[in-house]
Amino acid sequence: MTTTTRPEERFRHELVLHTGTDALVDLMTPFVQDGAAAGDEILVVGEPEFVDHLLAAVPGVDGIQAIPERSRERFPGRDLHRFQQSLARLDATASSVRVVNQMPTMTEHQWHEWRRYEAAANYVLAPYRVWGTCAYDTDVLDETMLEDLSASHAQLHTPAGTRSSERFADLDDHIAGYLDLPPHPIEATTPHLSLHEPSVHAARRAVQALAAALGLTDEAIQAAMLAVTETVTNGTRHGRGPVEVKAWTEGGQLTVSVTDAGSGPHPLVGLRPVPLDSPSGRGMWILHQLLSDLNHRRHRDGYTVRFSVGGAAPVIPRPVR
Amino acid sequence: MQRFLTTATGRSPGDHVCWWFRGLEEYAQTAREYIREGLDSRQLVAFTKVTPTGLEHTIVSDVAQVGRPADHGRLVLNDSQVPARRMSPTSAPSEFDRMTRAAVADGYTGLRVLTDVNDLVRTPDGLRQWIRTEHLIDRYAVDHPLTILCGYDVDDVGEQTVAEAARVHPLTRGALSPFLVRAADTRGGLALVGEVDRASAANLWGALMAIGPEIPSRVTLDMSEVEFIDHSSLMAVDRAAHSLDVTVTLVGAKGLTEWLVHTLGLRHVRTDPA
Repeated sequence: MTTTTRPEERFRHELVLHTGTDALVDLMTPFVQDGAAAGDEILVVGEPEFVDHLLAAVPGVDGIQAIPERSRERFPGRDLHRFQQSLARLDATASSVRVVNQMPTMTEHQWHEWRRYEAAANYVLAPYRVWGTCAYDTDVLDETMLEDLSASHAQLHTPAGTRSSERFADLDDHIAGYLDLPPHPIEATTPHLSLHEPSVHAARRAVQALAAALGLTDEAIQAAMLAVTETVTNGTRHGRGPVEVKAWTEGGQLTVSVTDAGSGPHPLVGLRPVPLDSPSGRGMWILHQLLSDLNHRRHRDGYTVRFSVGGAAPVIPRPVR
Repeated sequence: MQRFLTTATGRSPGDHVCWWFRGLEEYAQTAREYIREGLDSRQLVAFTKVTPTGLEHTIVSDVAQVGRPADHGRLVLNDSQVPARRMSPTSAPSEFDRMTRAAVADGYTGLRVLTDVNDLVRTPDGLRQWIRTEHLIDRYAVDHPLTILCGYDVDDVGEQTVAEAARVHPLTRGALSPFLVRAADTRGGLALVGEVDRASAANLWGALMAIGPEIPSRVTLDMSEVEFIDHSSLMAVDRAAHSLDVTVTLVGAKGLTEWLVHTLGLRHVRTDPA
């Protein structure tokens, strides 16, 4: 059983199931209006069209903090940290905040990280007086995904009403298997680079050379160097040897996997911030702030962390100030 | 700029080199080449021996003065009759300043020094004292015609000691340390060179603490020659800055480094607002 001590729970985590943007606006309009009437701060996140639509539906509500953002620009680690920062700015330990979060569209592989995000939110946002709604379109959810979401949310909100989620009490048990995943298809192909028990320096140099040969931007090369440094360091320090590094170049992207024979980290690895004075644990959190494609997998031979860099989007986000 | 050297020659004013050697015969050969280059460049050349009790110079006017190793492994110059000045090792920067000015006044193009500090750095106290002095020499050499080659007998003082000393030089024989902390200007500004990760972060902290008393309260750290730095190394800089009660401003850092500083929320390390 995976146990994670939660601080005093002030965070109300609610799953909203809807059937499209219009239906979601209808569902969320009274939520926003009631919150405003109660003096709560309101935070709205989602696709620009949805945000505009919802704001237009509540013309009498002033001061809504709106964060319109495309799905492709969002990824779990950075998203969760940004929420935390927004809530801190809104002083959400003292005053109440209502959040409308239209969840991004996601692929099956991305889902594995987003479900970790949903579980981690219960711990990361627990200190805040927040009523947070996570809105999913039922058209894109299958049974397994619904089961995961039921376990990570305390309440379920549908057009039929709001009810408690019985599975939420089993969250710790439920997340225990979150890293037990099948390999990514690329792992079945022949890698362009394969290193057995490399030093951190050697792994960094090899990945740097491969990224440069691929023509990645300097930012992407730096990100790949940081990621392989952190993951090989973790494998050496916290895992069990041998540490194996593999890399693939496909479609202008560099994908790197680092495997050790250990049992792997906590299922929510990298999603919970670590205090500055903590001696370790920050490296993976940093990578989850930086990389949109970073995945963890536990398997019979050990534990593999896999990440990709490259593509058109800039790697390094605006500094968090 | 190539900071990890394979030869002691090719040096120019301002160069400050950590040169390890194995055995005095090897150092004598290096000394001949280094001295010959200085004499050919019309520099005043001095051999400086630093011990726990003093600092003494011998002016070298001919390569033939460099003799074979003797006296229990010390490098001995044949002409040792030149009057020596004895003073505290910490006086080295002001002594080199005096000698450099005198050399220029006498028509030389500058001062070229070859040192033997092995007797001093054999003890932890001596090493600590000398590393701080090395940094002050480095700062002086930034804008003065001083060229200095610091000889360390690795068989005598050990690799760890040589590595600790190397970290505060801008030039070293080979990669004695994956990173170097050098003086960037005469006002106390620093520059970091090379790469630092978790394996060397504690050594970076140690290097900063060793020269800490000489670091101004608001110091810049030039990052333009950093090939790689990770979050644990930036946190090491932050811890050192906290201990020394200074604020470090990174200049010339890569975008990823700046992002790391902001994302980590470091309290004593900032990035250049420009």
